[in-house]
Amino acid sequence: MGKTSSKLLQGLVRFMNKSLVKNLIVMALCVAFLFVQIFYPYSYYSSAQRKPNSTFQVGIDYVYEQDNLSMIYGQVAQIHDLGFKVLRIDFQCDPLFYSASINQMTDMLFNATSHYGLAVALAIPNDETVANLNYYLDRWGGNLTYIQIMNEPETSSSWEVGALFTDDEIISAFNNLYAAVESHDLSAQLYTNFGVGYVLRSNIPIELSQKLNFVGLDIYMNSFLVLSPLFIENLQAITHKNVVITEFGMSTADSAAQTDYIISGLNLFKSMGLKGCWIVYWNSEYDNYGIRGTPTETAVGDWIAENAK
Amino acid sequence: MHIVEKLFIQGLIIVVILIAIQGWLNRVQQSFMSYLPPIGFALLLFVTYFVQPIILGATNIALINTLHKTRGWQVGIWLNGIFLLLAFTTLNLVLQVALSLPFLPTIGIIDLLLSLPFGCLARLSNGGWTKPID
Repeated sequence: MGKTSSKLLQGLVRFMNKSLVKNLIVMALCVAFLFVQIFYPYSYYSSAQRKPNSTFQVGIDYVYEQDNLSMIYGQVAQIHDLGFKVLRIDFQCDPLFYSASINQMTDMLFNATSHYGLAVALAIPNDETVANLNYYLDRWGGNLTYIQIMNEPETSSSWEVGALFTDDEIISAFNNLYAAVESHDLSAQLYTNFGVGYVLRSNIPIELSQKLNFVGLDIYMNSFLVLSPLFIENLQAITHKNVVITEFGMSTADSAAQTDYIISGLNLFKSMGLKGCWIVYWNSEYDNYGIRGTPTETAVGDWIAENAK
Repeated sequence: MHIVEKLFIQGLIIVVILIAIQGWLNRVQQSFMSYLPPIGFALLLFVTYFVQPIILGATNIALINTLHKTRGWQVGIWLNGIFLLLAFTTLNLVLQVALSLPFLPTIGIIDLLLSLPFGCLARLSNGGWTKPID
């Protein structure tokens, strides 16, 4: 028996020692290692709750300009009752008419968020003017907890086709907006959010993060959710700043798929020990991102009640 | 010299090179990425996945031929190097994720303690010939 085993082992060693076989084994192991590197972090963090006692802040993007004035207060109350701690809003104002409809809506929104103690994150668009920004911050700046300076600047200046920013344009636009925000001496924390495309223009987050309190990462699609632990770790390493997931959602009419996606993301990000995750959107007129009135709304509320108190 | 000693020396030298290069890359990563973007990023990828594997592969076969009195190689230098690099970075990633350890000094010390198994992996991943190859 011993002799047979020994012969078999020697035969196996001789076989594996052939150049062709050894090359194939090395290549197969390289592929295996690559798969481990790609999938292990997601698998580890999502397989169990690794940091059950960590504080985790769930936020949501409320597109209040798509609602009626009379609805806004009630919607903020509903968002608060579900357990959301942060409300992310778009930059909406009319600097020419003090009592313009959109200004009244913004007034109403801040009345409600102040009453319910919700933190507000203002997203300043890439092409916003300093004059408009000054008007907004003069009038409502004191209500803000977070200010987002530019939106995924590494991607484009606007959502127009071919509107790619050069590095110089990004940095000068950022500096103009940053100087305007700083001149108001607000207590709000500053951040800029990036899409996963930042890996191709990593100098942008490195440069901008020097003036920011934290950086945001926007995650869409299952594939990038699976890869997100790698992106988060890399973004933290190159900016030396905490990462918050500032946009996270799925546009689909399939509520079950949307719920699975959002809940698995919340579990993952909490398990990784991140400070928070902000969902897009509460309401969304032109696509299927909105979770208001869907089973996803209930599922997210239940998740917050269990995990993010 | 006993075979275990040879494997330990081989593993130790490879691991020290890997730790040194990885530590250096971690330190200069920002400088690379900020240098004439995106040229710096391309250079970082070039150094990480082309230059580094060649250094590792060449060192490994040189060690095998010196310690085990062989000539030539069975596996290409770059392929052997990228294999060793991937084995090393996969181990480090698992340690970093599962145990939340920093690369230096903790993971570096663990890597050094694993010199012998790493030497076995390095020896098995390539080899020379005991007879003249031409």
